[in-house]
Amino acid sequence: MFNHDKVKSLSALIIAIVSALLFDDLALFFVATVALLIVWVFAECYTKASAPTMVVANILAIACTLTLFLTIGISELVNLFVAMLLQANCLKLLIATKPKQIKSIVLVNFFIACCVFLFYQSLPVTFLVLSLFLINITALYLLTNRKKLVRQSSVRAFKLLALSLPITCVLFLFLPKLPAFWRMPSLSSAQVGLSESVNPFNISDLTKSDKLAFRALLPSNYQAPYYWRAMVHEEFDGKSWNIAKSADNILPFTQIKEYGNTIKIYHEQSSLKWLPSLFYSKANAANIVTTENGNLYRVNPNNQKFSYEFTEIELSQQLTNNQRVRNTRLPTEINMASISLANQLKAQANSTEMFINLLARYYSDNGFIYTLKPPIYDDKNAIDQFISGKEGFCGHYASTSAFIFRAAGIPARVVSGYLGGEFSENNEYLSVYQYDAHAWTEVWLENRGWVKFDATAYVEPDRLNGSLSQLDNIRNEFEENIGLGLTSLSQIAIFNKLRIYLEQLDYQWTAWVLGFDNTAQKKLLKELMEDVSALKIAIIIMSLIGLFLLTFLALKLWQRRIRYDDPIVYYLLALENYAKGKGLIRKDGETVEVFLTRLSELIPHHKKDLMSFLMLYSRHRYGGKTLSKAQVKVLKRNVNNIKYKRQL
Amino acid sequence: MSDTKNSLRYQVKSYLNTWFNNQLKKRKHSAQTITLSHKNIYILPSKFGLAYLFVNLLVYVLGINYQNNLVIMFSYLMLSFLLVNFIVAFINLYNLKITLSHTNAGYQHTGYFAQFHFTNRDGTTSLQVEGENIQNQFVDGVDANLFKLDVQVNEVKRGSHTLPRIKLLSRYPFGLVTTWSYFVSEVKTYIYPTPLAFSFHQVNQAELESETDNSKTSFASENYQGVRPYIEGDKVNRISWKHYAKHQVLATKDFTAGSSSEYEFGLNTVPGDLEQKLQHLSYLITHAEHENLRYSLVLPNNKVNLGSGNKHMSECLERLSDV
Repeated sequence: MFNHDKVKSLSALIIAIVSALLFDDLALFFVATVALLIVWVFAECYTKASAPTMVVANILAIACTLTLFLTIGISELVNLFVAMLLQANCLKLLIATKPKQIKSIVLVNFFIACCVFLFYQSLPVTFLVLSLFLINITALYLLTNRKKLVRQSSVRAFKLLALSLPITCVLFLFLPKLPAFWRMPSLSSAQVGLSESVNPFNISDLTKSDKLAFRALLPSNYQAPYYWRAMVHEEFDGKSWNIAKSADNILPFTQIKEYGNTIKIYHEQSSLKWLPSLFYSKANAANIVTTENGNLYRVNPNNQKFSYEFTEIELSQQLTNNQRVRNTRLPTEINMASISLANQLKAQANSTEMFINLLARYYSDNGFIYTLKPPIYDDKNAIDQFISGKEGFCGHYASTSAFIFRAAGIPARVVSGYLGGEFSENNEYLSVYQYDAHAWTEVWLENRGWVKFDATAYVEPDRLNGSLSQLDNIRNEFEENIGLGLTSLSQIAIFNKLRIYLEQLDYQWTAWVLGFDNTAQKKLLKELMEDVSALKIAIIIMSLIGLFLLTFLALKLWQRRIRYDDPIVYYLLALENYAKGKGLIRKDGETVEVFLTRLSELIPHHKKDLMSFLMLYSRHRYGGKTLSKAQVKVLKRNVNNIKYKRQL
Repeated sequence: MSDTKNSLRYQVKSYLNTWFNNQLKKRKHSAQTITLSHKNIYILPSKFGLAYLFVNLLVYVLGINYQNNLVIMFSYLMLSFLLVNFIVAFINLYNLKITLSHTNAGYQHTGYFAQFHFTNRDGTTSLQVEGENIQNQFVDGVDANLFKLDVQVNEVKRGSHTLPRIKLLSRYPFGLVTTWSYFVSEVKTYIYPTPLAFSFHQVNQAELESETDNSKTSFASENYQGVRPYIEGDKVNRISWKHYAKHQVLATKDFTAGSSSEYEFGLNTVPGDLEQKLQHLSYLITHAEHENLRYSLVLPNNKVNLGSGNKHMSECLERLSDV
């Protein structure tokens, strides 16, 4: 009864923080509703506002649920679920009066707090969730100990939380990670990412996002440029390049290249199924397969951070008839100028290689410009428009090149992914941001297979090295796109340092905690012991946790041991206990002198020690002199002699 | 049918109760003073703790299904937190000294009292005292100073009782685990029959119904003292005709309230069935003590000699309760 208002406000605080944090993902209307409800809860606790009656509460609940369904919608199942949980708990908070009801609210809040991790997993969010946990257990403490204050309780809760963290780490490191039990609805993605169809204007949108796409650990011998292939677009509808329906067909068998490098990726949250890789590759994760085009394809993406490793594979150098037809097909009657350009180049070239060179020279000789702010080409003949406008972005160049190749009868396709990336200060890893998104062309050479053709390389060769953010020519355009962020402030030294430091910290966090998957765990266990068995793991976990808890317990009990301010009292007690063992009990009111004399009669051979003890005792007790260190030592020796030394 | 069932249930229950108490005595739960240590402290998750574990499991399943390391870690954190709770809860009760100071006998309608003394040099928080026929009591904190707790045992059966098994329980620190211990006492405490006043009319009835020859049978009321041999001049309406009918000797009812009078109380003194008689006797004894009279008590298989004073009264009432 005493603390209900405090507990209620703490619970309301948790709900408020989570709702505000998931603002991006949950509808604005929902946040407003929750805010109102929370204000009501606070009013109830600290003013005379009354709780709604049962009828009003029920009507409120129905209304809130309905609006939730309407504003968030069934399609975003996870968001809907979390929102409903938040709202239900909030409503319950409004009408709860009994301790049992409040306890259930606190329990649900545990679940609510952990749901934040489904949406965000960065280091700051982790600290935030930890503080939510702290608030929640403070509420529990207040509920159990009715007269305690919030500050006292939070200190107590903090201590216990700190104490449970080491155990958590042991469990996390050693407890084997199980595979998913069943498939959960995936989170809807509010994040920017590659689009499954390349429309030049879409890609230029991506450059406005400075969100991290992924980080890669590259072998040192692997040189730039890094073309991160993610998707192959083979179908052109006149406007955008789309992924063929058969693109996710799984490659029946894969041959890993002997000298191939293994590259590790820490991928940020993404609901995209196509994963970036540097070549035709095969990944080590169970839910990532290799498609016929050599791309990595993720089955059941769940919009969480994840990591994977991939290795280069051999792909057969054959083009089936079907593929040939698909990769030369063009919509009729558009971009006539481009088609005539293709024919013109074809007339000059006597091989595909020569055609490629001619097209490259065409771009560099005719004043084509690489820009993030191209004019809008929205005509039916957009490619013709671009060829005459000569200003464009990677998407324009890729799209145009593929069109021209196809017009000349050469199989070609658009590939999208990322280009480059920014190395960390110590060259440990490469960070690839959304603004590094890129598109280029692949051309079929009869004897060499698919060959990359990136027109950007001829127009803006610097783009191939490093990240888009490091490109000097378009810095102004780039910064205008990003807006004010740490990246934009990077020219100021302090901010740049800060940015790099935060980035480094985030990487460590991602690599160690989020990248700690089954493989990493097995590696760790292998290092600790020769052969890993469930029994051994169990023993390790048990003994580590047991050791920790016992140490804590021992420490606590030791702190609570009886302390004697005066050493002589302690030694006298020891003598009394010794005498008890011999059958001599000190009577009530018996003076020390009488007692020790009686004792010396029982053990005459220790008379000397006893008398020495008695002398020191009298001097200290009745003479009022404090004992020196040497004297305490003598006392100790006397007692030990009596206790342990046999008669000589 | 249901009666036999109930009595069987009662028997089984009381048998189990005794057995349990005996087990507890073996485990150092029984003494005038007990100090709680690892030998006699028990810890298990509370009901709320089990609910917490269930949420813990849900969080774990969520983490596994999304393969989200942080959610999995959160579930481990919840589990570790519970583990730490066990230790802290143990330390909270550790070293708590419980002493049964004394018990006060009571009447059927009040039950009896027991006073416990609690002390813990290192402090104990949120202690709950429970037991059969005892209203739960909450002790907010115990420290080095003696804490006195009066416990009322609402027992209705007269007679001597051993204190019910006392359960000392704490849900400190977070309500997730229950830490408890028992205090079993051998001390006997009496419940006396509730004093019940009665009217003189009822006494007459009792007198007439009485078949005993005991000439010493006494009546008690405000000023009725007994019978004495008839002396010339005694009022006729005071002659005990019943006495005459039996013994053919005239006797007079003596109403003079003598201050130094001595009384003997017995079952025949009072009307009603056995329980009522006992209650009336209880009334007489208490009343007599209050009036500073000397009295004795004769019961079918017991006797308390003439005397007075609180101790005497207690003895009389105890014998009365034992009937």
